[in-house]
Amino acid sequence: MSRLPWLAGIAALAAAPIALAGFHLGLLTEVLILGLFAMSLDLQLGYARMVSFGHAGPYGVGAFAAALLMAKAGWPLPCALAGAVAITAVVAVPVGWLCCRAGGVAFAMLTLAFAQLAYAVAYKWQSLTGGSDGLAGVPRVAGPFGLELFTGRVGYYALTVALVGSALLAARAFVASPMGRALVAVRENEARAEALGFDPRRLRLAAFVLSNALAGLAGALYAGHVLFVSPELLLWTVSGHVLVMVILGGTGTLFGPFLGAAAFLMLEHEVSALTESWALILGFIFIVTVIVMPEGMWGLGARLLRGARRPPAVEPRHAAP
Amino acid sequence: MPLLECTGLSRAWGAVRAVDGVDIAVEAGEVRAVIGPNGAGKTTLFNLITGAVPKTAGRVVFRGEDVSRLPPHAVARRGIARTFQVTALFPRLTALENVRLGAQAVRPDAMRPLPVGAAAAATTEAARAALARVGLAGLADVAAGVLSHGDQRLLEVAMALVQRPALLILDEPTQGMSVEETQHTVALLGRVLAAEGTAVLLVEHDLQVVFALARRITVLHRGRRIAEGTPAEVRADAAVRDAYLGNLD
Repeated sequence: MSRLPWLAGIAALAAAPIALAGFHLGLLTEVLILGLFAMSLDLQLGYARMVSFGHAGPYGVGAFAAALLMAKAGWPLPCALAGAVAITAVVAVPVGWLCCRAGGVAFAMLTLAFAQLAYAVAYKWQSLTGGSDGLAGVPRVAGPFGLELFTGRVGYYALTVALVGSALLAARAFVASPMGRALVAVRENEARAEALGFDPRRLRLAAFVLSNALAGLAGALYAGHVLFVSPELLLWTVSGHVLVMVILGGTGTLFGPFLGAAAFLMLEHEVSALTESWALILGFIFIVTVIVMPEGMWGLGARLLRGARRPPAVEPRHAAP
Repeated sequence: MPLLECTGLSRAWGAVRAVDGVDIAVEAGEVRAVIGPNGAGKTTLFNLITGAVPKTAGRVVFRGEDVSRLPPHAVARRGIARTFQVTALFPRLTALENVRLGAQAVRPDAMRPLPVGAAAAATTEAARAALARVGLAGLADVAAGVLSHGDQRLLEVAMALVQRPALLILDEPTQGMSVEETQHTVALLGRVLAAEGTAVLLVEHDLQVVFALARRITVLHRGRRIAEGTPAEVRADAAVRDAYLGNLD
């Protein structure tokens, strides 16, 4: 891939605060955060074929952790975000250890169960989480050493761009690493990979923890963005929505989920202005997408670009991680 | 001390004793064949040695270490590479990446979560060399799943060879191959094995292949070892003739 698309992307993101009005800058921030959320799921779904139905779990845990660290402990914003990621990762180790013992549908059900458990805790533990009301008025706590730079609208956007960009680069490095390649081997043929010497369970656990930590970062950024958290963040519909974003955008691509998140948010925003049954229309679009372009928006785009330049490669899209 | 020493290996599924108290030892550098009629327990024996199937009873000692209770990936990292009876590859990855993963899997940094440029270069180089040794150098960038059946079998051999194992377990390497492909493969295996000095445990239906490659043969029948010896001794064995209904030539 040439450098041009990267430079164009960075330039567009840098110009956004100048070009966009406040509301649209906020929307772009949200797209980036949800894109990160979807990309984190893609690490599991696309590279390890681990279908999580409970990705709202780490997202909500990260959101509550960041909100509580700022609102109750008074941590400065960047420290609260880092703390939230650490908490999500630590929680993901035992949960992942249990979930990764199972495969396929059992894995999906276990992840769903843990997310529902987190929802129940957030709903019932009123003194800490505010119960069904949630926590409103979460402050973006400024800190010493110029950390207050990030508390304004543009500053928060810049922080989001920096963190989401770093997460994307980290995920790309992981996918290209020996561990990432081994994970693809396990996805393609587990018995074969194990006979070669790769430990499938350890690889899945590693992917699970990394994926959850990045989802925790997305949740923490979301909490800092809307300054409100509630148990709704942990609802199973959130897990469903993020799956739709990844599949719409294209699994196993890391970039695709950002497109999927943008499309999802735009559809939700535009169609809900027209009709209350926007979910019905979204569902229809989703069905058509899966049938017409199973490789998602990113895969379709890549295929069109490739087709314009040279004949299709022999190996399918997943071949080169 | 033998390289591999198995004692009393057993596996029962309910009342079916697929492998029943089998002893087998392989010396370093030895090429040993395991033969027997269909259902004799040859593939199950291999799965017991590599840890792919849990043992009902028995012990496997490899290079002086008890590996009986280790999972397959740990056994592989100790120096036992294998091919499968039913071709097992990463069909959507290129032939080169299939072999490269084999080279990666036995390195100390096999599962490092950060990119290692040196490791990638070293494994790629080793993979290209292994592909060339089995005659697949020209197909390096083709997806493994679209290779011909014969080339897929050879690719599996390359994935095992690239690991430089102390013991190579080949489960019917010429299964499903044409006569020409079989001859080519036998010649190739003979050359490579002589050059590497790798010990081999080989299951094969084609007795011509067995007699061409192996100096010693173990015969299984209904899960039990009924004979062991040189090809001539095995041919002359009355119990073996019985099991094969006299059809040894």
